[in-house]
Amino acid sequence: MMPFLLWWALGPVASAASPDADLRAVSVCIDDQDVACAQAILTRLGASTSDDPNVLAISALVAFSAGDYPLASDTMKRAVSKGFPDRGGDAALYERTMFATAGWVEAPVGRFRVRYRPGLDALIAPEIGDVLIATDKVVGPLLGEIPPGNTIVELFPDGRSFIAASSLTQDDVQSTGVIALSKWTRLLVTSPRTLGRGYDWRSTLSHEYIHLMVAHDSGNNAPVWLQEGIAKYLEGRWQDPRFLLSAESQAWLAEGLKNKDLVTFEEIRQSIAKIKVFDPDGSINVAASAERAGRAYAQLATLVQFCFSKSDDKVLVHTLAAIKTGKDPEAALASASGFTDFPTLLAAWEAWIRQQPLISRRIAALPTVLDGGNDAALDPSFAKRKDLANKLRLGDLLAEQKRWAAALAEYAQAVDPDMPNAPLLASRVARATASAGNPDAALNLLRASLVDYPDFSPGWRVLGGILSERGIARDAAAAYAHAVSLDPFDITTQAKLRDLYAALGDPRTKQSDAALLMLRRGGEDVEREPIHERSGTYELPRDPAVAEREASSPPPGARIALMGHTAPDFTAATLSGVPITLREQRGKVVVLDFWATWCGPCVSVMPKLSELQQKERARGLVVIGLTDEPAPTVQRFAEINAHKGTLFQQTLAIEDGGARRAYGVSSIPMLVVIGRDGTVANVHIGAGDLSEVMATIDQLLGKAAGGAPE
Amino acid sequence: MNAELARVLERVAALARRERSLLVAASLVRVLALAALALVAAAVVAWANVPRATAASWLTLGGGLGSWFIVGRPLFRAWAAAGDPLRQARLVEAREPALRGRLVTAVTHAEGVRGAESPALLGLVARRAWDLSAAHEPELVHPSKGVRRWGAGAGVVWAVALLAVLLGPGGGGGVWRFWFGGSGALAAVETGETAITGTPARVGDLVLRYVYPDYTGLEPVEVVNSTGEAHAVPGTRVEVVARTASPIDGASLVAYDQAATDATVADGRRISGSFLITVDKGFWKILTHAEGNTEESKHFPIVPEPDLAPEVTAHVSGESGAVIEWPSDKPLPVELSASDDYGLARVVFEVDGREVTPSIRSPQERTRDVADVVQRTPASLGMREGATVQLVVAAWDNDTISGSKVGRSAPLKILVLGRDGVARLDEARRRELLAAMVNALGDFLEETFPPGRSASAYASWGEAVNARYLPLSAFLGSWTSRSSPTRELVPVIAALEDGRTLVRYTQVSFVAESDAAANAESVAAVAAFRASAISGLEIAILHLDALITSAALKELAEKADMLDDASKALSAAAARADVPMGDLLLQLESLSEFLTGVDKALEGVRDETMQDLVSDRTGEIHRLVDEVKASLQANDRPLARTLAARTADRGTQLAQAIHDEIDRRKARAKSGKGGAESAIEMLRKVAEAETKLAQALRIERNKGDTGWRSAVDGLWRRAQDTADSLVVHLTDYRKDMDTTGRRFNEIALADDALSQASALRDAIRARDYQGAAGTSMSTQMSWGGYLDRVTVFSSRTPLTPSARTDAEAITRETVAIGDLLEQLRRRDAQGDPALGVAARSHETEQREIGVQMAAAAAKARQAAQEMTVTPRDLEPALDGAVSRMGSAAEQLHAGDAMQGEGSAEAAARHVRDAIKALEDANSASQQQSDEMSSGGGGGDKQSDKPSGGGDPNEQGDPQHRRFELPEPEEFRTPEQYRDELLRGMEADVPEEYRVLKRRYYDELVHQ
Repeated sequence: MMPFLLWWALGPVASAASPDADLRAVSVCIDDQDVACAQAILTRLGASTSDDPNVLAISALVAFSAGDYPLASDTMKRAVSKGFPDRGGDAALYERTMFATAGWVEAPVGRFRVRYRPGLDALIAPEIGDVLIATDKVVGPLLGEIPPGNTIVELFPDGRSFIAASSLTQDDVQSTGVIALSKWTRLLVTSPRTLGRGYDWRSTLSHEYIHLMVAHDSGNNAPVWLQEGIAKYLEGRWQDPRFLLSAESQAWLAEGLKNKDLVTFEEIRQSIAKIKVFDPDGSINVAASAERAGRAYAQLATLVQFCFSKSDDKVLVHTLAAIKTGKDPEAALASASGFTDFPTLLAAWEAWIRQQPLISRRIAALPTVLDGGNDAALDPSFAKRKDLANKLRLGDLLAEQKRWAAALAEYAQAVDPDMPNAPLLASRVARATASAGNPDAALNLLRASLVDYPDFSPGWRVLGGILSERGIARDAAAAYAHAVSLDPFDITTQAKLRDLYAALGDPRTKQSDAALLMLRRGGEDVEREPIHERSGTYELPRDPAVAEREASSPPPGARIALMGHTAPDFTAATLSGVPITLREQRGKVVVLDFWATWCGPCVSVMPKLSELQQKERARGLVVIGLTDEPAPTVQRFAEINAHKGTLFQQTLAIEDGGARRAYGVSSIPMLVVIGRDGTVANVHIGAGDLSEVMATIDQLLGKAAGGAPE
Repeated sequence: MNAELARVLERVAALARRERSLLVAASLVRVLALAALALVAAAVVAWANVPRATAASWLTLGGGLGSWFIVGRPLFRAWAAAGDPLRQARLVEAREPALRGRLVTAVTHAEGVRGAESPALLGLVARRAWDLSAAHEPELVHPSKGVRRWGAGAGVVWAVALLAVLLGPGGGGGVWRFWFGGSGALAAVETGETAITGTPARVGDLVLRYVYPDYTGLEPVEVVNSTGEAHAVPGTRVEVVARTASPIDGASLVAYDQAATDATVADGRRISGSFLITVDKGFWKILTHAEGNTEESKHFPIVPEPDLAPEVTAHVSGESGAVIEWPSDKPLPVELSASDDYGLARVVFEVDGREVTPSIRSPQERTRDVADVVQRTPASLGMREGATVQLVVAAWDNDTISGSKVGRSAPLKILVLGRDGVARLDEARRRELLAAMVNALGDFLEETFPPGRSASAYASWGEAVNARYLPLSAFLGSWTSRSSPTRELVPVIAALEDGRTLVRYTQVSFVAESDAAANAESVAAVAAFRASAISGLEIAILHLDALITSAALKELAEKADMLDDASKALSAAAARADVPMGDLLLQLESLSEFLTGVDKALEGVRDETMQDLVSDRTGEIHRLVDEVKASLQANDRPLARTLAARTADRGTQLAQAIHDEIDRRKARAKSGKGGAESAIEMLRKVAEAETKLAQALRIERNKGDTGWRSAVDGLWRRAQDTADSLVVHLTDYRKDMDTTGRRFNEIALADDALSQASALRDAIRARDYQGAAGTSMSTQMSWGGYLDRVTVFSSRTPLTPSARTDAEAITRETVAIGDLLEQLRRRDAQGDPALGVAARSHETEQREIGVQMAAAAAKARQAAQEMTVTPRDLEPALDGAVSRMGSAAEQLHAGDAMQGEGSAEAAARHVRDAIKALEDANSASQQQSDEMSSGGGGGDKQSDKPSGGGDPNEQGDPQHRRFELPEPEEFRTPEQYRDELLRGMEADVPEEYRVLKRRYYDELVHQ
């Protein structure tokens, strides 16, 4: 993927660059994740003093890959100033990354350089290295070689900084729930504390690292579907040699098999990230999309598992090596697995998977909310269904008053049989059931729920609490330990775990004490040198399509509230100070244009309105441009644009904001078409297609002209 | 006469004697008491210096009337009655039921047997009467208790009289002189009262001239023909001029036993002099000297009129509670008034007895009245936050003679709240109210329902439900007593109303202590009411909970803003290479303080996820602050600056994160809005289409004029006229029930009947046969239920004749409507072929609308699931719409245009109800979202009042519904109500029964 990015970034000027071959060599180094190699070539080229925009741009990319963000940012700015087009917005990315990582420190663990913001995240920094070293050790031989040199791992303390440094947009992250990435030879992972419930960050980390390994071993030629299948299959291998398909993956897969709705390989091949399920109204159904993508992952992971079962541990080594040499990935995998072709492999896999025992109940994907959310937002049912969340809340309030029986009655109403089991509800019901004197039932319920949702840390906490109250200390400690493994930053759970360890005489007490001390102090002492200190503010990138849709979509409230109703009167003043009211215009067709001098789309609409005014004045049309900006600003704007002739045939008027409030204007330009009887006939927001507005105006003008009956 | 009979008669005679002697004794005692009362009256009159003639007249009249009514009349009436042997016999019979009329028989046969009566039997009767009455001695039949009581009363009155006479001003002598000492000085002289030395001086033509002290501002006043008694404020100089009856050699004026220095005699008879009135009472007199004799005039009283202390009132505008809760930094509007008879020197506040400077007013000129509204903050008055203090307005008068006197207002008890105290207090109240409601909900959810099968089980359950609402009512009552119900309480009040309806219905529908099985329809209704009450409580709880959360978030956001500001200041300081260490430390302390503020605000946000999220970050910043301090201590300025910049950066990020999260929550609160608006839009289209369909059917109906159509039209018109009339009659009848004080349970039933009748009228107007037939039946049942209830209670509170007539008319109308609808049904069955064809042509259209309705209903249900506020009554409206559209399609298919049109109208109405439900909930969701930014109703109380202006108690709009806490007796069954009344009447009447008792008697009077 990297060469593609690189050459896309270099764009049209690449071919004109004189050190073309060297730059290509740099590109190859980057593909091999060998940053040192790339740096050596650039040094040889004297890139630091070069004025060549392409050299500067690739130097910036190498610096960025090496984790030197100030240098990357400065170099890219220079490249842009020298004419590099920067179509990918890399300059902004480098600067955002620089600001997002200001003051971070770096801890070397083996060949990994773990970077984090000093503070609480220091708690898990050492473990990051441990997981990756274990992955190297266990997974490396299954794939081929491990990447050369050092690998930078960045642990982001919040979603905002993760988005800033990831090249993803806010909208991408919100809709896909991405919490970790492997890119630019680096691993970017969010801290478990950015999610309210934590997550299985170790396996996620290992998963992302496997991507890097696969990219390296395949010469960056492995397709995404294969990368994901391998990563999913091997992500837990660092701690357990067995492959255990998660309950939710089993459920999704089982459902697909049952309903004959497996994700087609065509869909998978295109991109798992682009697998989307749409609601009838055209909007993306995030939960259903996540489930379908999850089914695709499950299919791919089991496919890789099947390949291993049909061959030996070297199946992927052979496959990736073949891919690196340019062989078709599908054929390479089929061949390495002992099949004649890929369709045969797929057919065999499907036959095999249908015979596997799979969990067949419905399980939903846990929602991913970075930097926030409330308790209900942690649960797939309650995140979407506010009515059920309300019942849950009522149950919680009753439980606060220790009205256990009542709380259980209320919780019972929070169940929709058509929805998957809700892990949050299970933990709440279990707590209330145990408090009401039936701990055994509570434990059964909770254990069943945690089979389905093993990553739901609040459930493990409740389980630990109930077991602890029942005096089953060892199991309680195990439950708390699981909760801590998902969310190490929960100080209460850590404290309980520590007490249980101490009571059991467990040697891990010491480790727990240290963690607890760090949490209480708010992190470790700052002793390491920061990687850089250049801080600043940054805006998060938006998906242009989504942003545009939001900006142009009319707020339904304003439209619905105005249409068919009498237009509110207002008072404004023309640029010459003459008062103007809507009431005076009764009997005419009026178009109100809410605009502002700084609003490009507004200004783009104005000539059309001006022309319309000029043309239809005789038929009784009045176009009034309303703004709440200071009169001198508007005056100056009008003078500057006076040469455009037809621009201001309409009346420009200044109002004090009252008209905007009265018409519920939340986005401009907004056009309000008012009939001769003072009734709002149309409302249009944005500068898009005005044909409907024009038709309405024409119709209203026609009525009067023709004297047509109402 | 036989011996037994004679003995019996003798016993009866003894009783009469006993009674008469007691009457005499009682009369004597009453006379004595009356005399003592007269003495008291005489003394009081003397003190009050009432004109003697007037007083004498009243006393005589009073004495005369008192003698007649207290002594004479009772004596005469009782004397004759006491002589009646039959009465004496009855008195004994009353004490001894075993006599069974024997004694009375004996007495009535004092002359012996009559006619064929048996003497032996009479003797036997007399003997039994003698035996049985033997134990009833005259002392027992006529106890002397009454006489003794009168005697004791008379003794007390005498003691009072003597004390009054002796201890009053001037003592007994004074009283004596008032009544018997003459009315003027001259009279006194002429009566020959003796002076201490020799003959009394004969002085007259007294002229007293009062010269008042300066501070009073009064002009001198001259009193000619004075009685000599000097009344004025201390400090007043009294100039006396008198004439002697005969020439004298000299004279002196003595006041307070001191001779006046300025006394002179002119013309040998005209004496003048002056004295100064002091604060003491005393006398003045004139000593005349003639021919070596000294004569002394009568002693004229000197009565100093006290210069009273100022009268002061104070209260806080708009506050009436016993303890006024007020934020320390908000001006307290104290409305005060002070007035004095001569003038005020200054008006001040006193806090816990300590005067607060400066004064509120210190008039430079003589001012008698001050009225003002003074606005001072508790802090400026020196009140400490958290303290409960007494605030008093004290006014000092300008009396320079006897010293300035102070008057004080009644103390205002003020609980001084901290900054934003009212908001905080309201917050605490919200939480308390929430807990009370949660408990009430818990009771509902934990109870066994249905409570049993018998009516009594339901009645008892109603009592239990009532009890669970009482704390809520009490709490709400105490809250709203401070101020008008605020917008946030509207759902709470609605929940209370739901509960009230449930309890009332239960108490009206189920008879306590009845083992009969409860009526099935009532059971179904009470179950529906219970579900509604639970739902109402849930909505109110969620509403309050959302307010509490949003208020907590708002506070968190405010603290985050402060932290952000502090972070920016720290960042700016850290950026300066030459920043003094002290400055850096100062900024650091400031940031640390705001960080602690964030921590505290976070405690109010009851959400573990949010708490985890923020506390993680504050923990880190706290640690960084410590590190900066450590580096400052180590004098490592570069490191301190670096770390300070990092700390500031984290502070800004935390503030940003908090705001982001709040924005997300706001967005989530609004997220259901789009869905709701889309559903509303869909429903609007359906309503429009259905209305158009109904209109089309109406047009078909109006085409042509066949006999069938005319007949049907005529029947509908008659039904409509009768329904209109029924509603008018029922409305009037219902109003009359208020004025005639009918019982609440009757009113509840009549209300129900009225509501059913209104629905019936609407259905008939819409020509909705199906709806009309249903509501006609329920109206008849409801009205019948009311009449049954009135019949049950008729022995206690029968209907007035006019009400009975009205009720009969209403009954006739309900029956008439039923008949008309039956006729319509028959006509409809005959049908009009042309119309039938037209109806069938619309079937497809109706079915298409039905499909659209199903989609819109699904969308509406989905939107309801995503809204933070549950739309009330959406489900029945959607169900009703779908069901009636189905009916309409079937009816049109059958060619029944009349019923099809009605069903279409009804369906359209249900759709409009659904739209309204969604719009209301949408608006409430919007409000919640808005409040997340504006806070949960803290701050200015006024701004929280229901929007739209006007009286918050206005009827109509549910948000403006009149708020009224249920009366306690409204929750009682009639039986319990009576029992409590009777219990209350047995003992001394406790306060809470007084009103009930009066009502009870009122009802007795009505009977």
